[in-house]
Amino acid sequence: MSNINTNRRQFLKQSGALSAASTFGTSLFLNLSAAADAAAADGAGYKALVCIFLDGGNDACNTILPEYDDQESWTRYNAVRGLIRLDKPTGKTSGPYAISGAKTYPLHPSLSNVSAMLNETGSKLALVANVGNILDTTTNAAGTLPAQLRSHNDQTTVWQDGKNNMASAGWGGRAVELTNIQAANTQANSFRAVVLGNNNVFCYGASASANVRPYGMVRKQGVIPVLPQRDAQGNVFGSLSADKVLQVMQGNYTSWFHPRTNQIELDYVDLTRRAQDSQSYMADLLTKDPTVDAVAIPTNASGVPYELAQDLQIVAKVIAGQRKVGATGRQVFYVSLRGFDIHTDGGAHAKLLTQVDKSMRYFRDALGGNLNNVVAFTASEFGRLLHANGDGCDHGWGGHQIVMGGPVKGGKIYGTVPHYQRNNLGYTDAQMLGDGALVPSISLGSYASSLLTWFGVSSTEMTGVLDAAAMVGGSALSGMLA
Amino acid sequence: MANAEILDQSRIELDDAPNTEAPSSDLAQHLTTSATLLAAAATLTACGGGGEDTPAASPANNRVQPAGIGSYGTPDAAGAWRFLQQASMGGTEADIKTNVIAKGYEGWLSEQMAIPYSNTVANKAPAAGTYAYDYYVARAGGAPKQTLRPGIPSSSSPFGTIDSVDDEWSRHITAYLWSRSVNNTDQLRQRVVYALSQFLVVSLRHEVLGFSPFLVAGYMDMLCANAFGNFRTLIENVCRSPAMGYYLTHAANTAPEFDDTTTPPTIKRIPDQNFARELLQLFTLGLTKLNMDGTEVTVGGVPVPSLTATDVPVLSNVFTGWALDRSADYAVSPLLMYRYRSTQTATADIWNFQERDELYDTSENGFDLDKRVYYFSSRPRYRRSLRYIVSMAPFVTFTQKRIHEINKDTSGQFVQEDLGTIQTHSTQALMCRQLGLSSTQPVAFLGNSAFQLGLDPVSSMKNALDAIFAHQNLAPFVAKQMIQHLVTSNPSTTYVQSVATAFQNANWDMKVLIRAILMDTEARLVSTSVSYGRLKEPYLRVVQLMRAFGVPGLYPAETLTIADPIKALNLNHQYMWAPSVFNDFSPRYVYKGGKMANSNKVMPQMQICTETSVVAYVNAMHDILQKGLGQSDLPIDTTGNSPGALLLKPIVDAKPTPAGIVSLINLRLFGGTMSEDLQNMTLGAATGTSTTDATLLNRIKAAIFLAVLSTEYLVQR
Repeated sequence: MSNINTNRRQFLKQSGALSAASTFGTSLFLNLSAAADAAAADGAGYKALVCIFLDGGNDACNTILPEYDDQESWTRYNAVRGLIRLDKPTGKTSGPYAISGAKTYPLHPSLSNVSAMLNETGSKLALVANVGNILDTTTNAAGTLPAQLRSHNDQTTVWQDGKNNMASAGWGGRAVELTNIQAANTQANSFRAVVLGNNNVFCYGASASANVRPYGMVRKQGVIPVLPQRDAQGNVFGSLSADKVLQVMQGNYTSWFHPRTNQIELDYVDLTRRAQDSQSYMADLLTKDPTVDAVAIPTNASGVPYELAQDLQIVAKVIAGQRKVGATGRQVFYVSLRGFDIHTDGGAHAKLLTQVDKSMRYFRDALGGNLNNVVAFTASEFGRLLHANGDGCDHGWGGHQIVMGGPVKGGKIYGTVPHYQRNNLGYTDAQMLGDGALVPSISLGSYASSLLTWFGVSSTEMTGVLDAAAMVGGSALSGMLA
Repeated sequence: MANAEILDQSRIELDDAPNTEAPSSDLAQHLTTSATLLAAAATLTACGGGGEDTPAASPANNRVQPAGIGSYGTPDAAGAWRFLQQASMGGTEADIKTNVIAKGYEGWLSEQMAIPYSNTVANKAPAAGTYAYDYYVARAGGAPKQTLRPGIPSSSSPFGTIDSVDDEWSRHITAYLWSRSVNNTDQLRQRVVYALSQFLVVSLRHEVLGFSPFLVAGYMDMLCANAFGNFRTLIENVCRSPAMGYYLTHAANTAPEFDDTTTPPTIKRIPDQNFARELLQLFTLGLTKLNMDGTEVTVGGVPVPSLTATDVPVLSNVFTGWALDRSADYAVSPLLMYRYRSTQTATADIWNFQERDELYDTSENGFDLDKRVYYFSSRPRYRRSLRYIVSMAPFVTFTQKRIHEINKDTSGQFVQEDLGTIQTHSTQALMCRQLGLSSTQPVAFLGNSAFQLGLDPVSSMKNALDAIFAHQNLAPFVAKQMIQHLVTSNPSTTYVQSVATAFQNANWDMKVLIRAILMDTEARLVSTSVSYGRLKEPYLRVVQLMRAFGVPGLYPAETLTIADPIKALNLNHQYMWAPSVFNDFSPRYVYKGGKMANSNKVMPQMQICTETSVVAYVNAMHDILQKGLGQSDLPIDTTGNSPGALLLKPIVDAKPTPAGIVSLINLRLFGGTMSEDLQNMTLGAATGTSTTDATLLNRIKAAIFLAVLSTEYLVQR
């Protein structure tokens, strides 16, 4: 019996409910946890960390363009970017842009909302340049490269794991399982880490006892009720009671002397039980704050709502619900947008960045005042090569990210956007590998660490969450999060 | 979307005759036979029902037979059913009784492997009803095999205009894949292709393939044609597949280019590495060096990478110069979609006509002349050219042409302009230059320390595949994945080694691979290991249910409804709809915190199971039983069933007792291995006082519903 199931059984036992079959639609267990929430404070201490993963490797070189006045980089950029080359804007601020010190960097033309949020007074949005998977301080163009540097699966795992050991636990899950970071719902471990979509590494905790596992939600509905088809008597197919259905779903039909023993079956049943336990609680939470629904979800040119915004709407609703019930703990969220693995373009990158741009603006608006308790950040397994392959480009290394939230001191680029001029064909330039991959100047560990410090992870705890050896370039991020 | 409306009405019976069950008059006899078969299965029921993880009894740990292929005598019902769980899309009663029991495991395998899948694509004379793409022929208006759904008059055909046919896109191939899984008799091939398609992935969830499913039809034909052939030939066909060419973007990939006007000279463009990378990492070798038993080679506890940094760049040079075959043979498509696109009538001038269509193609999509080679046409305007299903053609060089249209509004004449020749296939010198080597320096690729590009794409590919097939990973990598897809997610090292060795020794004969997997003691003997087996994918769960009871007809709109990734009633899984080349789930996925993970076992299919998807499955199964795959209240057809619904009327007509219902479910869905507890649960659902047909039908559905929700059904053991 796995831990979560043990916890659930223990809890039910303590509340005298073990012998009572779970009735449909309401769970005593979760009503109790909701009551505990209501008794808590106003949620002022609540913090949420939202990972927006750009699946496939976002093309950083077309996200932040070369510095406006750096003609050498533009020459290089124009020469090697082939058909995905973007035009240099007519003026420094004629299109989307970012300012870093005295320098101005044009952004991809699709990033108009990001630009507006970046350049407004009291900006709460920042860019972070050239972040990547760095093993330790010796990693660079001439030194040891991380293993499987260009493999989607492996680098996705590394980015989410944060410890470079290809583990099955992630820095989001490890952070919320720390004892000093109280869970948003102390009873319902389920909700400490919430993921929209299929299972991933980021939200899993490492400790078997704390047992942080991602709670999976679905776009638009958030949660799905069991058998909405049942009739007024709670039956399906005429006379089959839904309780019988639950009994089979949850593996409770077996007699005590004939238990199922196959572990694949038992793991599946565990998940089903967990789903049923948490369903009504989460459904209720989603309706706590109707103001989120008042903000319109952005759509594409054909009027189809952006999927990323739909996912972020569910996140905004959960956060709003937690704040309403006065939760004081921490939650991590994971949403993702697929399609960044663009080996042939055809306008795909512009469409995706437009979706990111409008969805992040939407998320800020949907969060309203709750933005003060939230930091959202982008991540992507790698950037892409500066060199085009014609009408696309291939897997690279370092990439640029966006960080947005109430505590963010925005309005600038943290870190250094690489300079593209090179010495010769052999690429001795330390900022790029031979094929045009950016050598990161800020490690993934330092990027994550800056976010987690705000989240409440102490410096001594940080080594348990992230790989201590892989802290490179973190000073560039100082002051980004208050 | 307008298409949805068109397609929701498009209910045309698929080509293959439904695999209907015994007529109602025989059903009483049928039920009696079921009981007899169940009695015969009783001994194995006890074995399959549970027990502790006793290493001594586990074939994974202590083989009853020596490693490798054993002899297992005449199968009983449970054994035959269990075999069909691994070797087919699901066993029917007929498969169990008249096929596997009567012929034996070996006999059935031999018979299945002998069912031909002759390739008439090469002959350009497709015979009706055989091929995936033929389905599209049938759709092209007035087609030979077009039959409307029973009960719908032909005058209300939704295919009134050819344009609507052209716009149906992916839902028809989706329906066709369901139909083949459910109804085809070449079940071993269907299951093997289902397995292959999950690691040699192309997907309809793609901006080109989704709108040109003809590409996917050709890919499925290719996998089917090679399923019992040679794996090297299969991989070569994957390399040359236009569907893969679009999916992993090596179609129209060209040689590196350099800018010699700068000092020093610089690289202007490098070849696309997408396909090269996944061919090595996902299709053939994987990322870490493997022993023959599938375990990783480690040094000091650290896995040794199977590739070096230059392997992918080298292979990306190999896969340059491949593009759609423009030979006139394939331009003159039997499908002749052009006819419907224009008033132009003469087919004599078809070549020019095609140019014109492509000119529209390029202009509509804003291609300009800098765009690689424009007539490789990456946004096909028309979706059914034979060029999408025949292998891509090699081009060493390519002469770019531009076609200008003069007086477009009136005469529509064209002139052709020659734009010069470009190097499409890379050369040794260009590759060396990209790698920063002199052209005389040796280039290493995998185990070959002096790899040479050929003079053309075909010979380069041969050289590369020679190196790939000489790599120590190939046999264990492919063997283990196929075992995971067919038999168990966590095969023993002995099992992997035995299958990999047989596969390699047979020079990559797929027949030997399949036989070695299915006839191994670890596949054939019932295991009591608590980690044995595999969680069935949602698609397989539904297809097995449909095969067990039969369906009168499958209709395009219904199957796509099931695939909708947003709907609450979706299965979160669909054939050929993977979200990326990594498939829906990874063969290495570990369900963190679970019992399997604590035993260091992977659980691949659990990656698509979330709190919401496990509930969605329950809701979806309810509606499939209640309304059919369509999940909408459509008129009852002449067979007394909803479209895509299970054929339950014959069972109702036979008036079975509650025990008879349970016994039928036990045989059809569990091969007689249903646990006593589940039998009791379903018996309760099958029992009632009213004797009307309607309530009897409801009780049958209720009993099946409980059965398919149980983990006994969900886990293939």
